[in-house]
Amino acid sequence: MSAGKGVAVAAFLSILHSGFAAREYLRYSKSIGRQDPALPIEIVLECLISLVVMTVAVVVSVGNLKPISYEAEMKRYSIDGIYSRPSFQVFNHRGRFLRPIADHPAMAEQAAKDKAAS
Amino acid sequence: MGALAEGIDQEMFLDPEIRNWVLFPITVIMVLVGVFRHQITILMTGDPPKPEIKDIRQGKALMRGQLLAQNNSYIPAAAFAERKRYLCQAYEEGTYLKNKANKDQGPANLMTDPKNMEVMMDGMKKQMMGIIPQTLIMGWIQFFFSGFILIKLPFPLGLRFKQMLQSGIMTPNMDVRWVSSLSWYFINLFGLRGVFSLLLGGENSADGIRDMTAMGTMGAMGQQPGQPQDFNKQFLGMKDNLSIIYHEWDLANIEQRVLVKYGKQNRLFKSSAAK
Amino acid sequence: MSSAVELLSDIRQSSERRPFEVLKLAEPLLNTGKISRVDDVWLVYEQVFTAAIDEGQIELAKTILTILHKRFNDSQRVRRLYGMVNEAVGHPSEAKQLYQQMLDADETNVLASKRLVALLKAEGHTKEAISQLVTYLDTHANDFEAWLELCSLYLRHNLYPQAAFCVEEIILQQPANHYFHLCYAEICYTMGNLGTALKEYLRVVELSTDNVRGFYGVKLVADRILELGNLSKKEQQDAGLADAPQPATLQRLSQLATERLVHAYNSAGETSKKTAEAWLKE
Repeated sequence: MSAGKGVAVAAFLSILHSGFAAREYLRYSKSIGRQDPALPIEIVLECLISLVVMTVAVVVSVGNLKPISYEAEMKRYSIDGIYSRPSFQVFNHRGRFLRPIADHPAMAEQAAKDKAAS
Repeated sequence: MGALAEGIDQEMFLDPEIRNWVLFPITVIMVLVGVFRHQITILMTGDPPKPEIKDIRQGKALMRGQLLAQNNSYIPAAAFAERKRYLCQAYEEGTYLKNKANKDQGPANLMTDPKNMEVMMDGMKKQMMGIIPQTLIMGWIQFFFSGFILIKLPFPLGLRFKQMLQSGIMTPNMDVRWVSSLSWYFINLFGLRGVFSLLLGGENSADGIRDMTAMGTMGAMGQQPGQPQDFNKQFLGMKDNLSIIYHEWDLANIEQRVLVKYGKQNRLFKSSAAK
Repeated sequence: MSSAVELLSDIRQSSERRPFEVLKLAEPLLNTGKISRVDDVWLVYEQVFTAAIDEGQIELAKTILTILHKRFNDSQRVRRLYGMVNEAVGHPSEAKQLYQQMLDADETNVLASKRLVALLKAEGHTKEAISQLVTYLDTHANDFEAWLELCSLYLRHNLYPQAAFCVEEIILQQPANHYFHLCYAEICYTMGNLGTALKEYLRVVELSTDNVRGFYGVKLVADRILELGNLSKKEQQDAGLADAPQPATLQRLSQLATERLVHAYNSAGETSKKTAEAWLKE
């Protein structure tokens, strides 16, 4: 991917270069008195070609595109999450007595007894 | 000044000092003033008024009708009919209106409602903040930067623009493409919108164009900012919308669609015989 | 460290209830104090708080609460967390008082209204919970979470038509979310409304390719309709089969479902694969 980015940067510099060259050319023709000069074909070609190259390189080098189908979006969600209704969750359940087992005094005694017995 | 016959491009040499001391400063000043305006507007506007529960109820009832109208094809016909009947009746009777008693009176007069005064004052303050800097900058440019040519436009224009764009300069023959600094101001006004949205995010108060449209509509007696919507009318309109909906259940031919999706069938049969 | 933060953010995004993992992930962050450098530090605190009261670590929850209160002195969102702690340790009356105070101060407070309903649910007064939720939904008709909650409350009392009504409301809001069509299909099947159930299961399968639960539904309902093919017209209408598809189509749908299920179980473990195939062969 860095090759693509390198090409994109080089093309961008080439666009800048063609702009600079065009300006220089216009200043030169002004100073020698020629009126309304047409830009030389090289500068125009350089500008257009480097524009196309830069666009293609930027698109190619951007990395993996994520899928935009709705189905792919939905795969991110699980059924537990969708049905979970977090604002309505109740907390007076037995969870606070189930874990962590080691911390509960009764369980700790039991664990010690088991260890002694084994 | 070279040949001034028609069709020949006029060539003029401008002092580079003009570029340094007029072109860039005008742009820089406009950007700075825009950012400044944005920040001051943020400081000045208070919090938006908190909606009351009856307002919320009204608004959401209307949204419910909109959703029904929009997504009616995704629920079965019986469900749709039930909801349509209920909502149409509710809209007709005005069960969801904020003050049901005087529903036929039209929207409340803005002036008498003290809560709305704050909202209106905020709106007027915002407009002031828009107009004043614009006028100031225009005056400043006219004062300091008039009487000379600043830039050459890359595109040709008709002769009628000469008066506006070359305002201080009395030369009957000069090409319209050479313009004064006031037109550079206008170019910046339209062009800096992109810069402001980069610097200040989407909703910014440094937009010159919005002020111009605001100035235009202030003269005409248009909708005042924050005028309360007439919910009764909207409810009745929604009721009409709902009553003319022809319900077609999206899942009518789902069997065929699924068979096609999984490759068991090559095309959808339109006839009802092959259901 | 950053992966823990990312995982926490994923869990927050999906709104799944996984308190044990949240606490395990957040423990190193809290102990080493690295949590203050996280971007969404306050969201993480809230998440860890909820996990802590789920897991019974009340002291930890109270510590987090003091931190949050110091930062967000005046916030309603933090105040209701005090109520939640009271709920967790078994003081519902204090919690109720707090929520009532919040509502008296601001009628439109959504968080307090919802917690009051949750309180009633927690104490087992489902009827009052239902009526309170209905009042809430009269105002906030576009809150799909509340509709989902009402649906589950109705289901506890086996009030299937009412539950179906709630899911229809949600489908109106999010018609492309196949989970809600799944819920609706299952309620319709339970009610005995086979015609709609079949179509809704098919919709699930259309929206979400190879959805196993959806295909189970398709197979079960299609087979059942075929079985019932010999009923009288009145009985057929009762089962919502007035517009039922032709038997040929039903056969094809059932075969399609079987095929896709076998395909889905191909990548599962050996025992589940064998069980599924045995069941499907019938």
